[in-house]
Amino acid sequence: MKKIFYLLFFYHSLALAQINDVGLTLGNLTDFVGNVQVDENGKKNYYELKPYMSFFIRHDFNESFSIIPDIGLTYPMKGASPNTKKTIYMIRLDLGYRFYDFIAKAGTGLFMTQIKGAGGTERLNNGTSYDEFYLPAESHSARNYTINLGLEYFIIPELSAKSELFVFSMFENISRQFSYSVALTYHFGEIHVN
Amino acid sequence: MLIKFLSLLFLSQNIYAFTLNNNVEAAFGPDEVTVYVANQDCTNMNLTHEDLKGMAKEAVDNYWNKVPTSRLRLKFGGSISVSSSFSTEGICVGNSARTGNCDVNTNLKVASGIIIACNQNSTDFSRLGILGLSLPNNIVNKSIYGSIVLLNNRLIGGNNQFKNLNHNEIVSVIAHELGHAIGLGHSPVKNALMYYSTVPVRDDLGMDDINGVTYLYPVREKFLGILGCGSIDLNNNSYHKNQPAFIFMLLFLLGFMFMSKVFKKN
Repeated sequence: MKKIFYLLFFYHSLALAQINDVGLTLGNLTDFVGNVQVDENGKKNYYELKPYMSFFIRHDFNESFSIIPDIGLTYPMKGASPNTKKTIYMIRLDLGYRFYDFIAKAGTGLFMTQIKGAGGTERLNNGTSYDEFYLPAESHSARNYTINLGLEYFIIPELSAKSELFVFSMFENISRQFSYSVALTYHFGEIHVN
Repeated sequence: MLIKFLSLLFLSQNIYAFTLNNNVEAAFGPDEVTVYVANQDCTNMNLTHEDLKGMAKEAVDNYWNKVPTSRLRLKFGGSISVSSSFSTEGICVGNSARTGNCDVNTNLKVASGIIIACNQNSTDFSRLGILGLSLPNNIVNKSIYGSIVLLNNRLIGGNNQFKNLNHNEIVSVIAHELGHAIGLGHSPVKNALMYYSTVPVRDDLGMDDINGVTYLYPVREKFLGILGCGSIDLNNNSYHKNQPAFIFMLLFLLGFMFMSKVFKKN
């Protein structure tokens, strides 16, 4: 079903033989804002350094409305143990409404959180002594669908700044979480396929 | 600006270093795991059975269930009757769980879920500072079937460390032990719940805890959740979360196409 959906979508985009914009985004993602403890005094994560890069195409239905698929990934963050890495892959499909120098966006996304390790052990304090604890030795991925909302402002025609909100587990009270991104996008402009 | 940003790409400021408490990366098979409290008073800890039940429920609701990238959902199951072994015997036979080599004490073996009990065993709780001990003590291959959480109910020199902890601290201690019960080890990061020691304020998981539970219990939300219906895999008794995100997307897309036609006509 997922494959069919994406194939239909890309076919639709290509069949129209017009891509009104392509671009590259560099930004930063903060996961589960306000719900992650970042120090021993209870401070929460209102900003976290997690750079990401994404590539998008935009197809305009008319002067105001467009559809914007976007694919990207976060920089693989290493841990205190250098053999543990976390990467988030994002596939998103947003609909855009253009007004003045802004594009308001809403859509959905697939976030794949990959955590992998090379195994081994780590010697850690166990309260009264030190013990060996096992480090992850495999690669595991979580898959979440999100609801996305965003606003993009064109500083100049080639460069825009945007902020986006991603809602995880929208229909579950306890595990509902919000992530947000701030980013700069470089717009390469229109591409004619035929 | 761009150069500064690109240079950030090559820095790693975040610290992720969760560990596991067993070498087979064992995890509970079902998404929903029930947490019970042994039907006993924890007199030396100054806690009644009802007190402990309330705190255990808070530990279940306020920590591990808040992670959307994890499929694990702890469910509070109330009281459970257990033998007196749970309040007196050690987790391991012949030696302490803290020595690293553990022959599981079958008298404390948990058939299903997680049991929290107050315990006065002098081998496991040789010091005041040891607040709890936990172990997945029913593992078959890579699946945890049952885990035990023991809280230090021993009086040493007429004192018990739980008497010096406030409500939130006890809740976080229980949540920390539940972390061990689901398969996680300690974290070297102070902001993590799985740090070996209590910290001044603890009311949420750290990113290291989130990564650990995501690694052991990665969620697989289904695309077909567009209809908002859950599904049960009868083979492994696993509930797969479905998020109806895409029904929003499709409805939005239809509305959007309609709107774009209207705008075109005008």
